[in-house]
Amino acid sequence: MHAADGKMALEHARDTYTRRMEGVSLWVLPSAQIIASDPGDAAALFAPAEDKIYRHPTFYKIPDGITHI
Amino acid sequence: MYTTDLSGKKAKPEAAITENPAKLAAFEARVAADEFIEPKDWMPEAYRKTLIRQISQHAHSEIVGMLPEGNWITRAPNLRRKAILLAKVQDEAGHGLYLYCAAETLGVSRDEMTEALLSGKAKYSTIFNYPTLTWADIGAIGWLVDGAAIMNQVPLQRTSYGPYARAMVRICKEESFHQRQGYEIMMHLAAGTDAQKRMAQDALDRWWWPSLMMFGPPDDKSPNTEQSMRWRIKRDTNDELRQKFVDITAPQAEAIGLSVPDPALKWNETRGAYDFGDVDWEEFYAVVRGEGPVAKERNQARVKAWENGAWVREAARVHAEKRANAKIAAE
Repeated sequence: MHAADGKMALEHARDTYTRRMEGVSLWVLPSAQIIASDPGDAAALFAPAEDKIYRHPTFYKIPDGITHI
Repeated sequence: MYTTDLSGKKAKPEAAITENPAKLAAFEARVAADEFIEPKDWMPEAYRKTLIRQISQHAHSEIVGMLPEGNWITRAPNLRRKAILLAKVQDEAGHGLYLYCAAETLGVSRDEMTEALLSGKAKYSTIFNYPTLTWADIGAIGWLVDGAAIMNQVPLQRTSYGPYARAMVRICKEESFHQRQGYEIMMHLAAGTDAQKRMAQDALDRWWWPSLMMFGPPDDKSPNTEQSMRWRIKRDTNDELRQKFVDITAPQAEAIGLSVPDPALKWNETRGAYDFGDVDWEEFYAVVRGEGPVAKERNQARVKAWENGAWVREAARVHAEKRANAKIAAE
């Protein structure tokens, strides 16, 4: 958003991004204040999660006949 | 189309040649693998420039596109139609904003883009330089112009530049409402009194050919298509999209008893597609050159809106500054 202040940014964000109930809450902050990860570092940051498949429930085999688990 | 290359000139090849060959090859491979390129990623200058031109032109088209329809808000035939038209025109403003934001990620400022639009340096879709003479024109615009826009924009949801592709996803969802409300207007008029039916037919007669022109010049006169397709900035050629549009739209006209103003329009069993007449490309190029029937009025309206809004922008800035200073003083 381009706005003179936070209140105006919030009003513009409402008109621009929630015309079809897309949100339940809006946050605005000056873009210069955002600290973001570099997409170039994506592998170093997120790849370690890939081999931790035991974090997913489907990793565990449950015998047929056992239900509600 | 909103994104048609209106420059008519072949892009200079030097730009690509002077790039670092290893980086260029890695970039081309990522694009070929249908990966998204993000703002901080390395990209060739020619790609960046082409995208800035294409996205800002698309944004300008959304903004100028509010004018022909805004023209009818106060004269909509009933409250239902007025509320719908207001919502649609507001959507167009939203589309312009999503796109300006996407273009800004490429290093161009909002002010630079606004300035280019107001000075007449930047192009926008030729379709918006035609006048909206009757209420049926609002129906024809939604049905045909937004219909053509959808045809062009659906493939762009998979365009190679991430922020542009994501803006397209939002826009496409909203365009569908625009097209259907337009067709509904035409449907009602076509089923109405003789005068209403004549009005609907007249609107179709005037908007049909300019809508076909929206897809841009024929493929053999569109020198940058190949490069743009390789970069996944464009996913179908102008002629492919135009054919698809005719194939889908002609039966829609027939279904409501309107006739497409093209004596050469005929279903071709062998091709499995409609044959249709030649577009008057002289008219298209004249509109691109700024000779459209209401080109001057459109520009004047944008300039006037910008100038009349100057005091509001200034007041908001001063008010924000004053409050920030008061806050500092209180701390």
